[in-house]
Amino acid sequence: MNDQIIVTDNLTKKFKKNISVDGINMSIERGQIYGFLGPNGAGKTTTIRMLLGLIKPTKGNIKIFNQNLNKNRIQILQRIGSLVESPTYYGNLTGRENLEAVRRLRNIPEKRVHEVLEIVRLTKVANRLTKEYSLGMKQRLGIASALLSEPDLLILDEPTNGLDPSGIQEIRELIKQLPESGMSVLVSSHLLSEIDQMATEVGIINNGKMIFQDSIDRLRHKRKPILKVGVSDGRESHSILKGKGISSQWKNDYLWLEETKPEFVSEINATLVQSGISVYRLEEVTKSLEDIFLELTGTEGSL
Amino acid sequence: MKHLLKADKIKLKRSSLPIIILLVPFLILAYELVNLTYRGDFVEKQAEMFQADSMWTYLLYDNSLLFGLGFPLAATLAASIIANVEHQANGWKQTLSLPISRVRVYLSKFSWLFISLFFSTTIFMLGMFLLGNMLGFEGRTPWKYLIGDSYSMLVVILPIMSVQFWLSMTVKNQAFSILIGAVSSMMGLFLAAAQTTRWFPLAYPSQASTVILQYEGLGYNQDLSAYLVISFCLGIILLVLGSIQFAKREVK
Ligand SMILES: Nc1ncnc2c1ncn2[C@@H]1O[C@H](COP(=O)(O)OP(=O)(O)O)[C@@H](O)[C@H]1O
Ligand SMILES: [Mg+2]
Repeated sequence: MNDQIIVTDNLTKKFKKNISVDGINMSIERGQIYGFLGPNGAGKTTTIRMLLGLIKPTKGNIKIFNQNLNKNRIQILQRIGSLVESPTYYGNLTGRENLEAVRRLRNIPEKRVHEVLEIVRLTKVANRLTKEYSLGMKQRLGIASALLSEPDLLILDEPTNGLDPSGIQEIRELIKQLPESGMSVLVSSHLLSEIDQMATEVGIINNGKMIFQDSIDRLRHKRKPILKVGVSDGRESHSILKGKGISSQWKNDYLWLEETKPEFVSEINATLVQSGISVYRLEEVTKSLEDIFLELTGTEGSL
Repeated sequence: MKHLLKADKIKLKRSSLPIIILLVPFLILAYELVNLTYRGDFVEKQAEMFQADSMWTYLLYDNSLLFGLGFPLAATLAASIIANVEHQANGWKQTLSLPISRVRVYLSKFSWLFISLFFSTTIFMLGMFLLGNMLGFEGRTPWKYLIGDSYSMLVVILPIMSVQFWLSMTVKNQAFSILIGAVSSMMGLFLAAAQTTRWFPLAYPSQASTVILQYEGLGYNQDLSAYLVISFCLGIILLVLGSIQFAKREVK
């Protein structure tokens, strides 16, 4: 398949005895914005470092652009722009000089520096020393260097970390428009809401293991609201509904149903009341992100 | 490689590297200026006692100990400044995920270390020339010895450069490499004092002068060519080993 941008096979990294990344099979296709989601310490940065050849996998394989990373590291890196964790900035240089250093290295035309400065809105402060930059400005400078070479694949590790809400919004909008020019993006975050707002695909990593990998729609489906019904006799209600071919669950003293359409709700209500059950509550409940995470991992965890 | 050298040059902008490059030659030349003017009489007597054929010869001999102590320190600090630019910037992960071989990244920065120290010795040589002329030294300027004295140091210091550079590049805390560099520069002086240990490469910088004090007075340093050959070979070997190790490292 030509459209596979990143494929990892059983990718594993051990530090001494700790397994930080445990048998990950990641798959990213051209034009996707792949949200790589997981709590702090889940193994996102470690995975990304392996994808960039900064550290060697303990086990497993990485293919990027259909080439083996081990054998063709330099050719592959030629087509990648990246930002890993806290941003790189040479404090003794201005913003423009920072980009100039990368530009020289990659042998990119000079006008591209102005373009990326414009894209991340640093043109005004381009001639100031970067040690005077705010964290958000440093982060945007990092994104600018990643964009400098007009890469086919952009890898951003927690690019919105430490930004204020408007900065986050800006970067999100920026990332969302990148695939229009044929770019594929891998962006990591520990915030589901953030991934939810920009990704087309999601991979969720927890304790080094990939616990979910699918389209964002499939993840959203898991967040579909459900119906919470308070009834006098749960067991009885459950079997009455079952007799009508409607499945339900009795949990935490409430009856739970998968649908929330108004017609459906009134039908349930009528059915139960007519069977002599008293219904004292009908409520639409949206699962929280934590709930989904709990469902996926089977353990307590915070996203 | 040309692009890489340019990029590394940009990264060194506004760093304190120029100060380090200038510091050692200026301090030593300032000392010699004071020595040759305020203690002029004493110096002349001493030169006579050492059977120096000219004041040039005396100058070349007199500064070799200070230069031999100071230049390894300058190399240590210069290596640290060049490597620290990257440590401070959190820059390794960015630089090493660009499409360039890691060995080249290493060699480009080493080139800047070499170039810096080349400037330093060149300034030292020109400084000696100016000083001699300013003070009206008699006889023709012994360019051969002046050049030999300055650039021998550059070769003799190669092993120290390779080791210090590797330390600074791989250990983030620069206090560590600077401490090692300072201790080994001083150890070099002690090692140079004894007949057997003076063949240890750390001891070469203080013995790398073209003119040394021998039994029969000041004369040409017969061992210099051996020092040069050993240092050059050892320096290159250590540089290659350092670059290979650097290329294999995990990037934090
Ligand atoms: N160089 C290292 N040595 C030892 N352990 C490490 C190293 N780098 C990361 N780890 C461990 O690996 C785990 C995953 O870390 P990381 O990939 O940074 O997580 P994330 O980016 O998802 O927050 C953590 O438990 C961390 O302590
Ligand atoms: Mg991380």
